Amino acid sequence: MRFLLTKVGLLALTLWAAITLNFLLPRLMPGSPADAAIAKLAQNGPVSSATRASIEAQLGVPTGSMFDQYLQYLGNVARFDFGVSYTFFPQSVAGLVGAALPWTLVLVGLVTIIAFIAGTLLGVLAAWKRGTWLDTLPTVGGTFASAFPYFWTALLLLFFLGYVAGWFPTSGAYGRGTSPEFSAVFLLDALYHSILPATTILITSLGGWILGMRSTMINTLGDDYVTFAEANGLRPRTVAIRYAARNAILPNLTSFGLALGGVVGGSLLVERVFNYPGVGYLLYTAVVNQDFPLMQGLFLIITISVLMANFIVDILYGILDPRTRR
Amino acid sequence: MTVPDPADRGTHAVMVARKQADAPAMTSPLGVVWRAVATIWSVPKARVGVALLGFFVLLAVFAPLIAPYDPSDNGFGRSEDFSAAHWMGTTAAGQDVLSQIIHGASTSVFVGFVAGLLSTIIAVTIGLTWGYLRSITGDVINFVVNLFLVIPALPLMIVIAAYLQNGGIGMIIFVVVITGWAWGARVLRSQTQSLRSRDFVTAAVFSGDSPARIVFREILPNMTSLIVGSFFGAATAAILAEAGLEFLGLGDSTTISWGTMLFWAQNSNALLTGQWILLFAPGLCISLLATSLSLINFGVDGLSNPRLREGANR
Amino acid sequence: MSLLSVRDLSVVYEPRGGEPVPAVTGANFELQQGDFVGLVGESGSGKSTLGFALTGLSKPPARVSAGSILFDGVDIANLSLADLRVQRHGGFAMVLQSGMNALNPVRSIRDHFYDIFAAHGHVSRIDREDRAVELVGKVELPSSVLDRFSGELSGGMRQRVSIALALSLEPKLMIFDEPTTALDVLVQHAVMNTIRELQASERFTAVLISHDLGMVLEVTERVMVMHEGLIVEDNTAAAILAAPQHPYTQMLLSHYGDPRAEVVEVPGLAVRGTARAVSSDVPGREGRAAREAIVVRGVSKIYPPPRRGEKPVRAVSDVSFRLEPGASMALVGASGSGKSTIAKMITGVERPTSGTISFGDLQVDTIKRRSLKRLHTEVQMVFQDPYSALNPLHTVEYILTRPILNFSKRRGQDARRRVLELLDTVGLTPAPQFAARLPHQLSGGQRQRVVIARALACEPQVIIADEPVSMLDVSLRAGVLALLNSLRETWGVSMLYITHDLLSARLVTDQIMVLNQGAVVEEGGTASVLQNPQDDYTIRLLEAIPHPQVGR
Repeated sequence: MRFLLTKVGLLALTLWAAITLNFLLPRLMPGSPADAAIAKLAQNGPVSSATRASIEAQLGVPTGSMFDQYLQYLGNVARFDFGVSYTFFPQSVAGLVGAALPWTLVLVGLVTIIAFIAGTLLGVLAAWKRGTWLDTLPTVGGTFASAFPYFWTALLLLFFLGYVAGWFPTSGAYGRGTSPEFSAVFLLDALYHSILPATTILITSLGGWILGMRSTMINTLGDDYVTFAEANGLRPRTVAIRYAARNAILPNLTSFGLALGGVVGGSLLVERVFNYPGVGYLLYTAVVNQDFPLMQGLFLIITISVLMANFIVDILYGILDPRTRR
Repeated sequence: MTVPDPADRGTHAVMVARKQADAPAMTSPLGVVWRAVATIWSVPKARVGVALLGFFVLLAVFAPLIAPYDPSDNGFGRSEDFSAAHWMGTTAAGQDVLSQIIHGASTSVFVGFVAGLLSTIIAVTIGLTWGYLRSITGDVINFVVNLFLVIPALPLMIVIAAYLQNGGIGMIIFVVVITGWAWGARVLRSQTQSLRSRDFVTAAVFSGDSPARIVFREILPNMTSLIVGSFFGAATAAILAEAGLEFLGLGDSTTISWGTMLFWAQNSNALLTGQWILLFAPGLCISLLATSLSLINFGVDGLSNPRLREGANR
Repeated sequence: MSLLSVRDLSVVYEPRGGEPVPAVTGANFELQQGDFVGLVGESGSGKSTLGFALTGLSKPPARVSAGSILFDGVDIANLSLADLRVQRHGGFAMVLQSGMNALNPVRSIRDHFYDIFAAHGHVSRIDREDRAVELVGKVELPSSVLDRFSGELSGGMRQRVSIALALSLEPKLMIFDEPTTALDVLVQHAVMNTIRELQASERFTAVLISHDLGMVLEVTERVMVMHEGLIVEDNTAAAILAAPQHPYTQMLLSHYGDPRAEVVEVPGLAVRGTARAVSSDVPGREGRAAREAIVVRGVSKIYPPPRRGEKPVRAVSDVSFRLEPGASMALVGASGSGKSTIAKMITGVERPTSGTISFGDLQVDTIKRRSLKRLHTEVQMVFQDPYSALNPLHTVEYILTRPILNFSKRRGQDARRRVLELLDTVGLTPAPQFAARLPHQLSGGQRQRVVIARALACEPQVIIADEPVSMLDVSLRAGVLALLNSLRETWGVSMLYITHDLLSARLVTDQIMVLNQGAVVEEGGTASVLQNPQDDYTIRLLEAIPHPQVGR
């Protein structure tokens, strides 16, 4: 219980820090992002004073006290008011982010979990069968594949399987003819569209999990409780899984949490390559169009998602390790 | 406390240590570096990495001599296929692809080296002072470092790069360093903490050494492998991040680099025209360079973790 | 037929890319059902390697290179891993040296038992709980430990659990590899008693691997002595005690003594009788003999609670004493008795919660960083672990030069002369050769001498020696102790000697203080306190010392 409370406290503190960082970023930058944003917005027509205030709260005004701006910013964040996008005028940033988020959460979230589980199992196998092809193949392959830039893997798959072979769609999350709805046709179509981006993330992130698990597992295999378990004649499978792997997973879970940010970053590039309508593609659009309000809103939501995922991993760690329960 | 019988099972470790004793003295900083290089070289994977890295470094340094053409010269035919004059064809803008690949090595190697070095310097400075000094500020630094670790780096880089518009290589190095030092700092801090509780550090205090001297002469030399490891790690991350940012068009798109090559390839629809070499070659180079650094790190791991050294255990 | 028959057994270490090193060479012996045999040797003698080979646990780089191990007529040196595993039930079991770490931290103790039962199928599902309770009962633990995780148990309890787990295999042969070394003195004694009683009641054959000949002679019937991979002596305990044949055994045995005896004699150390000349009239070196006393008055140290919601830890409570110039005092107690905390407070590393400590005109309890340096010119420390007290990357000369440069005005050639002089003093000759060495090129005893030389470099008045010989092999201890003694007697340095080992306390100190849970329970002249202990705790500490002679 104490463990949980500590973690919740830490999460609150980290969230506050991330929100504050988001407040400080545009204000630390040279020039005035707020003026630039409002000028751009003015091209779409007159800017209402409410819109102007919300943009200034987010991006900063040269005059006025920082503290007042900060309070107003916090208020806006609490109301999910991140201003108006001028790329997609007059849609609100919150609405755009809300529409894009599910695509990314499902694609990246699901694939990352699958990659972690598969990579961990392969890592266990590699360490247990050390020196055999079951070790060499995933280790060498993993080292090489994890050095691929995400967007390059994406481009290769897109080119060869999408354009040349024509097996998979080359763009978007669902076909022209369908629209998002809860039907078998749409879900199958969405699944079909997600195969290439999902494979990209899987290939590129798998290697890291394999190597990480292999190296911690090799360490635990040398620990005394493993030797003792062998001395007691436990079945090899029990020794490998319940003794060595079960302990090796703990430090790996921590690195999983810390590596999540990297996976999310890589997925953003993947979305760009496949024109997948998630937060990554939206962020790219925002950046290209200098749509600062949208960019800030997206950065905040991405950060918060990663923080939440880390929190869940922390809790999971607590459940798996009896030592933290005391 | 009682009497652990320290090294009965470790006979062979002791013997190995004795053998190393005959090697030249390694107290000088040069000796430490020499020993590190020798250990890394003894791991086959790392040897491949060193060779690969050496190749790219040579390519980067001698690019103007090796490249057949000026990489920015766009006076050739557009989107040409392979030919004797242009081994890899030409780009949509009429530049020689091979020359761009060769010159691209300079950018990647430069960014990797400089950003890796700067990140490592920050990581060492923060990691060591933070690990050695016990104070409340330690908790604050801890929080800040953890924050930088969990905040997704690439989105942060993208946002900063978007504000700093087309800043070129300098801007890219800046954002990579800002987001890349935290991991090394954390690893080095925990090692510093474990070393500072060792008796030889206490003994240095009893010998009247100053805290600065203890940190730099007693603790730092014992972390060579971690520092080298975090340098290579940071350099890998920097090379990948640089390529990613340029691919998104966030760098200076007139720079000759593998990332910008991919940016132009995608923007000029190389996918549709079937000029796969434009996609394949720069990406492969980035991957190979990053792989070479990871391979070297296998050898660096062996410096600090004898259990991971090559060889079957069962 | 004998239970175990080992013939010409050799084990080699074959590190990758290194020369093979023989660890055990041509071992030959037989064990009968019900034997209790000791296997004794110092570090690197190959005794644990042999133990691992006997239980089929040799792993690369170790490899059985020749010979056979017939267990019940089956050669286990050539058994497949799968057959070997089956053999472990009703066959051979092993209790590891580091019993602290022999339990899986994420599995409950009950799971450990169930895993073994499931692996061999010798206990039916319904009987598991009862059998587990019975087994922990045999090692004198309550059944409630079954619900615990290893992190929640003390070192002694964990080692008992390991023994119960090994016992659950219903083995005919049990190998105990240094089963008590990592434990506290008093706990060691209790665990060893349990092992003895179990062996007597269960009648398994037992091999006790240990570096401590005294303890082995006390508990086993037959002893094999190993030295550099060879079994150099194999005889009954009584015979070895009466007339050791091999010079190595003779040497080991000569280092045992009873701290309670009228006269204690150990080779290389001066004879210590009861009425020992007080050494206060030592001439001292160039008038630099200790002049000032360390005065400790009513000192307590309370550490904040280790976890929230727990009580603060009272490490030291209300301790007072005076270390006179040139005197030697032992601070004795089991781990956790607060003896090391007292050393830290005297050297200014920690501050007392209450009470005062003074040395000359220095108020140590409130000392500032700047005066700390002055304190360290007068009060120096010898550390317990010579392997961690020397930076592996610095030469001996560098290590010894630091205090000289920091605390004296010697520079250049003058400083170097001082380094060589120090090495001479601690018996590391030829000094120029030792000065150029790195720590890993030195043996444990030589390292400890460097540590002592470093402590002497600034010509201190007081040396605090924190268990200076506990990490060293028996044969090296006497030399280091003799060095400490001579420093005091010829140079007039005062010494505070911290130890759990009463014999060494008797050998090098005149006064003694016995600490239990942070408080002084007994103090006085070393000889008289040890010969006439009043406090129950002191008596228990004395009883925990193996006495080969007494045991027979």
